[in-house]
Amino acid sequence: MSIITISRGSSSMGKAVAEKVAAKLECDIFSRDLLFKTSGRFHVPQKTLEKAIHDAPGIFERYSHTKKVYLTYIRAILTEMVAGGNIVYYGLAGHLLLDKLPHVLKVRITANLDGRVKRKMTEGFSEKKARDMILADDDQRKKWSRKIYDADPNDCSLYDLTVCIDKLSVENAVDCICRCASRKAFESTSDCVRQSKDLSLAWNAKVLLVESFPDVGITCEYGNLLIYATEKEAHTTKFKKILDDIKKENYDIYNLEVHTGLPVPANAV
Amino acid sequence: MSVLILSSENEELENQIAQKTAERLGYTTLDQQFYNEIAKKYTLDSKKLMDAMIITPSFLKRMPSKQWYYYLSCVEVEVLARLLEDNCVCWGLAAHLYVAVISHVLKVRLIGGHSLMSSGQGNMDEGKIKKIIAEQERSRENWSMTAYNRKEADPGLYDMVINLDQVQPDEAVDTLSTTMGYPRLKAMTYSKNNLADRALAARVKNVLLKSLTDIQVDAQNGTVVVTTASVKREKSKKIDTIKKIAAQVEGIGYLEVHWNKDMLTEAAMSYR
Repeated sequence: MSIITISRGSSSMGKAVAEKVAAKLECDIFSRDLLFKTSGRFHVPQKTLEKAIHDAPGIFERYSHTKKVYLTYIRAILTEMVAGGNIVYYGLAGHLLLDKLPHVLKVRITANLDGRVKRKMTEGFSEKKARDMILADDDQRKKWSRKIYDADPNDCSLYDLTVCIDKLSVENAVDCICRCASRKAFESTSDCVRQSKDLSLAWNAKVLLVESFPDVGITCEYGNLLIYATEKEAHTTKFKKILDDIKKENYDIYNLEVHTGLPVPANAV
Repeated sequence: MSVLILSSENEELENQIAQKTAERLGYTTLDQQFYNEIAKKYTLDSKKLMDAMIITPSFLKRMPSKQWYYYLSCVEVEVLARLLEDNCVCWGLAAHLYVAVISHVLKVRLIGGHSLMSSGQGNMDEGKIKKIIAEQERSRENWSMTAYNRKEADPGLYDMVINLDQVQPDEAVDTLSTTMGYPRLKAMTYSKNNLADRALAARVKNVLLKSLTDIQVDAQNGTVVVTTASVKREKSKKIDTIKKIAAQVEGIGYLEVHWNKDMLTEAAMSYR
């Protein structure tokens, strides 16, 4: 029962590695399906979601929280999918979207630029066009990570394992990842399953609150949902109505408490 | 057969993992104890040699630039000569910075794992540890940029990076031992020649650095290319000196000297 996220730059053979890892470990595999599911559930066009998860916020987006809302939708679906375990996710930003789950094996596949350009050229692009496309994509990813998560996608401390595909073959990388996934730290124990479910509950509650109260923090432990809001927010009728909705929609919630005036904990969503 | 080069900000774990991996694979080890051997061979002060691998050249630290580059070059020559023997685990000698992309050399960076440390940092609070690590990283980056124009923490330098925050040291040893067994990492004539060329370039640079500065050396299939810069009037003198000194090194098939005009000195001299 492994949960693996595979992060990679474009044309870095990440997809091939992910497919082989999933086949070897008999896991479900998904990437764009996440956006498809999110789009279906929340009635947001797939293109808008893709833009939210890929492109860095523009000048006007920096002052609105639309990206935050879309990311909350995506995370709610992703944590739901992951709660079942046995999954390989090779879509965008998996290592950041699931950063609160320690038992997720976060892998980064790297490749040198020349090799990536050659692979891109096989899709029918000229060398210059291929190089420009790869560099533009890398730049966009870097900006997105910096602006949204204050992280650099090339920072190895975000991953458990980084493998250069130029030195090791796809098969070698797959073998390395599968061996790593079988380590104790990445085993899906009952405690890990509980943590995943709690996280899923917290994100699903956040989905209902994020549009009107984007700065609210939520934690969940053993089904006990704690909502951290300001005094002003907590006393509005809208807030109370949303809390009622949360209770109605999530039967797994054991207890719901609202904390006002307290700092939002670091592990809150 | 193959060579494993480890690099880490966490010396204690690096030592532990490197020793165990070498034991498991039956490889020889090459670590910081090698500095004494190098110092003895080149009649250098071993403490100063070790300092040179940590500090950047500074007049205040009594480490002039010329001496610093020569010390680094001595380490490079000897480490590369040892690596030619294969079946070796090397760490703590900055080899990841001067061993280029060679197919039978696996370069691995170990990061994190500070909670696993038994001494010193083990009892400190997290904030303090982070501060110390950040300071160490800054100083290492400064050193590696000055010495080899490469950032030590750049993942592009390595074939694999293992984060020890989640992975246990024994599991890292397992991963490294298995990886070293992959057929892709077996030494081939071509990759051995590449390493031999690198070692030859390092030897040539080392003899030149005894008396000259501003030298870059590259080698391919025994052909050595030395690139240097000087003012125009010293061009032929410098080229002759380089040819004369480099001729002492064994194994050079053909020697080329590329000369560039030292614009800054030239401009300063014309102003005078």
